[in-house]
Amino acid sequence: MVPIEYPLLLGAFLFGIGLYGALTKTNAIRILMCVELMLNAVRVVTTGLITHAALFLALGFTAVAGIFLQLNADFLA
Amino acid sequence: MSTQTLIFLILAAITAVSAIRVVTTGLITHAALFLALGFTAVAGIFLQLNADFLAAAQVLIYVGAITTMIIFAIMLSDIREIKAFEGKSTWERFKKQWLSRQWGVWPVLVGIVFSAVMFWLYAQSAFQVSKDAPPDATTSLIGQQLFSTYALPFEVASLVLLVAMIGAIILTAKEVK
Repeated sequence: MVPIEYPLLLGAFLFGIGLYGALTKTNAIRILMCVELMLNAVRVVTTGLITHAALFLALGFTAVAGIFLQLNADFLA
Repeated sequence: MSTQTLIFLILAAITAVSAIRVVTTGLITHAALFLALGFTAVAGIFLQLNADFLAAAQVLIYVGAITTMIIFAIMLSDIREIKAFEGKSTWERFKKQWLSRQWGVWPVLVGIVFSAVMFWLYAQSAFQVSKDAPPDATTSLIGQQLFSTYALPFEVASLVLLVAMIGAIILTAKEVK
């Protein structure tokens, strides 16, 4: 089994690159592609978390909500 | 290092490099093709993470539909591309694309810094791991959940598609007087 840190790191890296591109590029199609990169990153992270934590949630956005519910409360404080 | 980890690292390297190229490449058509390559590599990662339905959907929708749509948009938008890197040696092109601040270093730097921040956040938070084993056949479970528990989000998604279709018709239709 792949360690859980690897998909999380890959997703964060992809999201950072997509964020940089979406903020700096002037071409609208290029910005659209960078937004797709960020969505891709979110999918990688959620899939990695679901596979490891055995939290089966059918859709991506519900998985994101589930992760935020799972987060420890003192992290937000 | 297990074989699975090695395969994951290779796929992750392909994904990361193609993502950097999406941002840094001079030609927008190349960016679209690199985006397709990145999507395909991510589909491989999904397969490795036991998400077979997600991998199939990734190939069908993202590689098949989204990339084609982006290429159509490029073809229809009549972009005059500046071929900045033509007629230079390989080393000069490499230097210009990867080592200069404007093209190569900044996105990589931003990506690394962002992943460091995110890793710090992950380390700060405590995930509760459920005791159940991951399901083997995910596709049937997705179907059952989609039509029972998540029926309303499913219908909302179809409503969004309908709105997008009406918007496309309105934007492209000629007015009849």
